[in-house]
Amino acid sequence: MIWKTIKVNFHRLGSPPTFYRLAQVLAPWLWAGFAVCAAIGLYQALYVVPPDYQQSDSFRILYIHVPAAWQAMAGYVVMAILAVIALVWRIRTVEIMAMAGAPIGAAFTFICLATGSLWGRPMWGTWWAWDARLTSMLVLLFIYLGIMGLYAAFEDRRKGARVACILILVGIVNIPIIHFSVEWWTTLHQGATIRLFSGESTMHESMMPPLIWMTIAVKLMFGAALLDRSRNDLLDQDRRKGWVQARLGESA
Amino acid sequence: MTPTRKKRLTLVGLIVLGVSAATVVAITALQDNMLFFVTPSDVHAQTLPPDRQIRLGGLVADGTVSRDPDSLAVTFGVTDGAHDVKVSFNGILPDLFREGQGVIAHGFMDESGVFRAHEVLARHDETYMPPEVMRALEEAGHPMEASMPR
Amino acid sequence: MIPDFEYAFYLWTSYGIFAAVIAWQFVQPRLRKRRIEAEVREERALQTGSYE
Repeated sequence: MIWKTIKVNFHRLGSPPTFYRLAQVLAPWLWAGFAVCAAIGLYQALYVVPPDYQQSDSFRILYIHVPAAWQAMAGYVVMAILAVIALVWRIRTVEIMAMAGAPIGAAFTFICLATGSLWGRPMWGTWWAWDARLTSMLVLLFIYLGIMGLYAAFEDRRKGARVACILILVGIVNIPIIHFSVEWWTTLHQGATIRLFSGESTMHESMMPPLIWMTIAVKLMFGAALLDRSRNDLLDQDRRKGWVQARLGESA
Repeated sequence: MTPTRKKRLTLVGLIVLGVSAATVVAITALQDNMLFFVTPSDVHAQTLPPDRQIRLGGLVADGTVSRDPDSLAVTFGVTDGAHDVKVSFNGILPDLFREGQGVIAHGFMDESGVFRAHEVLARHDETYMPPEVMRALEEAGHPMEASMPR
Repeated sequence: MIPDFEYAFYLWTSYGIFAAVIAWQFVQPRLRKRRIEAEVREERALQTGSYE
């Protein structure tokens, strides 16, 4: 019974007008949530937490670098799940969502690389090094750009989405490589500070709150931007269909 | 699940499995090239060809830093606990450079067994804490030990 | 008001990049939506001959 309800709603979500309306209602709330969490997080990161004993104020870059890095990877995992659903069930709205994740993931990967570089210059003494962590993160950026390029290269949007979904699946091997690179090989990048499952985190608790707020903030922002972009893609592809015409008719 | 979808799901699984297997083989084969630096023990264990450029990583050994008062020349020992290598460098050191700090020196071993670096990078560890906590730890007799780069 | 930080250049550039990228992620879909809607209206006007 419950299973059936879930199934029916799942299929209803696949209908473009329903998805469009839901996204329209949900996205502003996610943006608002992002704004609130980011405001708290940024305030704490810049005004409340003390400087680091070794890195002084430069360590505050961590509060955007680390959430961006996590989101770049988590966003990819979300896309991979959507890609599996898209490839197996061939639901068009899911295909569109999987594709819409790529530019946002690329944006977070870019933030991660740029802020990491700005951190590395004063702390390590170099903007860039070809160690396993930095290189695998750069590869992630190229994978994101590759997905966007492949999708755009096809005249048939649905065919393009399916081919790009396969690339998403191929690229998923890079995610564990990024995560474990600092354990498997010697790297310039330091090891993991925050440990969820194994051992203690090596960050003083007074420095934790802004990291948590910023992490939640970028997660909400990813969701908001994903809905915004998917909505536009639906509108673009269905511009000659009745539901779009009707929508625009009433808002005109 | 319909048979068609089952077939597609199997195909998806095979793609991921195949790519993973290929990646494991590739990175196992490239293992040595994926290392950003070698440790003093590695240097000690194998006789490296002279003039071969390598990156040496370890901690700056306590009490080994000596700076030339007239120039930027500096020498220091890099240790991984088991072995030490003497490094000479002429240039600007990163802000984080200090005794006990993780560093990575890029250069080569000369005939006399001194590592001649043309670049020295600092490696910050994964510990973050306020200065007051650091002082409190020191006063309590538990100074933070710099973690060993791996 | 603005705290005086060590490494201020690196810190503020990082936060600036973050703000700029997020702002673009917010603005870009809105601009695109407006463009698509304008195109759809234009197309419809051409077909029906009536400009609303």
